[in-house]
Amino acid sequence: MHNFRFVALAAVVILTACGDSQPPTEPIAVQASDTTCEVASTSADAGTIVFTVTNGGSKVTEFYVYAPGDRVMGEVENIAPGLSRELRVELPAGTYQTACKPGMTGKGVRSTFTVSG
Amino acid sequence: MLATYLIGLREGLEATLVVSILVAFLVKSRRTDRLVQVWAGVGLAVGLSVVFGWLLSYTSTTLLQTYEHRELFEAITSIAAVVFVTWMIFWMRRAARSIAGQLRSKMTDALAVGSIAVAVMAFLAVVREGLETSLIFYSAVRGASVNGGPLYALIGGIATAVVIGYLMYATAVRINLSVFFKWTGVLLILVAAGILKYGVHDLQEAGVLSGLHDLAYDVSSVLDPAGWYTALLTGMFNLTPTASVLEIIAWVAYGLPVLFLFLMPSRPAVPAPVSQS
Repeated sequence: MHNFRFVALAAVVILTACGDSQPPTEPIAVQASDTTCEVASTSADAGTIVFTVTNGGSKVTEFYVYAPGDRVMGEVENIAPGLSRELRVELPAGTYQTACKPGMTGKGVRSTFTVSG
Repeated sequence: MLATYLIGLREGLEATLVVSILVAFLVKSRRTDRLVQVWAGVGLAVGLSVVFGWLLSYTSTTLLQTYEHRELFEAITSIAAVVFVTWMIFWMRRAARSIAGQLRSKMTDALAVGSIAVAVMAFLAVVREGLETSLIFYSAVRGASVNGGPLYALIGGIATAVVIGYLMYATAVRINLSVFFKWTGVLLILVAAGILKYGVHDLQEAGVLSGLHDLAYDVSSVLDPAGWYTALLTGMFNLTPTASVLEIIAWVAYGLPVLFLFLMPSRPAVPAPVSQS
């Protein structure tokens, strides 16, 4: 019982603390399959960018945003078949690559993504 | 379906293994009075993960929202977990020695275990992957209106991990005390080295450490990342199909010295003082 009370209290504290949310960002849909990775938009404005990755394939997939040199800017793992997960990532202006990794292996299905400041 | 089940199994095992060893240890060393703290730690970690997962999935909370913060959260909780598990390993060694020295009756005194330490260890073991598991859970909940399969598969995987944890506990408490301390100690060193490797990987992903793509090995052609055995190996020992050089350095730099110190033969037993009672 004691635990539950603590958690409830923590929840209230967090909810109040996070009341001042930033303006909502329009998520970019990513449709992944076992062989494809369709990003609905190939460019965005700099700032916090939200990708909503939906796995329509039969393998578990991962979604990455790479800076040049394959530096990971953001990544979401464990996107099971049929599920949809969100990646929220800070991207300054520049040219990036998005990648889906069906089967959690290999270089992934890549495409270019441009962020303008 | 199987894929989702395996995710639940892997994420679940990462938490249940340490907790089941901790519980077995307390039962074996007759410190069952500390079990309350273990369950409090587990309960708090599950509760926080469920609440945070919900906040992140359904509200616009800013805490732990970005990728980097989450990787850092997992890295820090993992490395903190290694500290506590290491302390537990040497606590086991002391216990093993006190048996060797035939001071078994004094073992309980030697193991004046801090109750907060026990609670924190259980908490860290569960919370480090709890948030990620909770986020997968809510994404399955949201998809359940279309297809409930992944949700049940995920729950089934986590439940299997709990059953495996229980079976490990049930086996461990049956074996001979000195064998128990020796082998669970060695097992725990492998687990802790895996958790450290995991923490280093997350630090590399968060960009705190570099060299994410400098691979020490890539055996994903043999160890299929989607296979059930890979889920078991990754969940228990974090033996991943690919690993960076830095991950392996951390694994070896931690694992070998700790294993050496743990297995180092104890000094000849001092004759037990004659009891005055």
